[in-house]
Amino acid sequence: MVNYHSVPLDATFHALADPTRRAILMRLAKGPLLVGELAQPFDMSLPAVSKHLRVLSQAGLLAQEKSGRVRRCTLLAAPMRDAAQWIRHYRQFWEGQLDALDHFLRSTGPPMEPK
Amino acid sequence: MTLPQFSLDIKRVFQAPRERVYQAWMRPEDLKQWWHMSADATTPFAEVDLRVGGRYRLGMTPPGSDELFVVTGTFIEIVPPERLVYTWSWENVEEEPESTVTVEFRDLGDATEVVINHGRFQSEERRQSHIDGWHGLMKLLDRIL
Repeated sequence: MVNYHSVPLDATFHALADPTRRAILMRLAKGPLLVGELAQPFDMSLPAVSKHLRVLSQAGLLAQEKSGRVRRCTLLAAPMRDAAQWIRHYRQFWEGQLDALDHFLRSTGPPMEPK
Repeated sequence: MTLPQFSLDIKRVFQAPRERVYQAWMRPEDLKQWWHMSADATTPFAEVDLRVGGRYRLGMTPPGSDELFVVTGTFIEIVPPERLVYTWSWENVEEEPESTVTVEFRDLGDATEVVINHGRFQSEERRQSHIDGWHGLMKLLDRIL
């Protein structure tokens, strides 16, 4: 029933709750980017972007690698897979429950009066 | 922002009037007959204290297993026959944090559309402030009505 592998999803959920952070992840999905490149399309200061990157790092969604004076960001997909798994698991669970409810209502319900 | 951190939505139309679908959702006699999903599984118990702040406990034994899974939670919002909001957690699965289920029952005449949102709030405090807000509102209504 709830036998999927569970990691601390709270950090992942928190990280994914913010639209800017989701946009950052979307951009990184295409490949690693330098922090400067990553910050470019967002209307915010570099420290503000860095703060978002820190949240993403803490959630294990992002790896930051320093090379010289720049930092390169890479997407780490495992925690997102876990979040997706949570959703997939419950979608399947609720579909099963709704099938059962439908069956129950059909088998026990008074026949509907045709109007 | 009190949006869930993450949630899923599921919709289904049932060929039954809204009152009946609403009733079947949390009435123990009904739950014992459908909650376990298939004929070779069982719902050994269904305890429901259907009031704001009241708790529910639903046991479920999956097909071909004698393992017991118990889902439990507290009712946050009850608007018969339109809407139920309650917390959700598994008693025997410690690693899964509490989530929140919102069920809406939409009247389509002879049919009913059920819309489920199952999600996770950003923090316990936020959920609690939501509950406190609701209790406060109920008390206020009590005083002025």
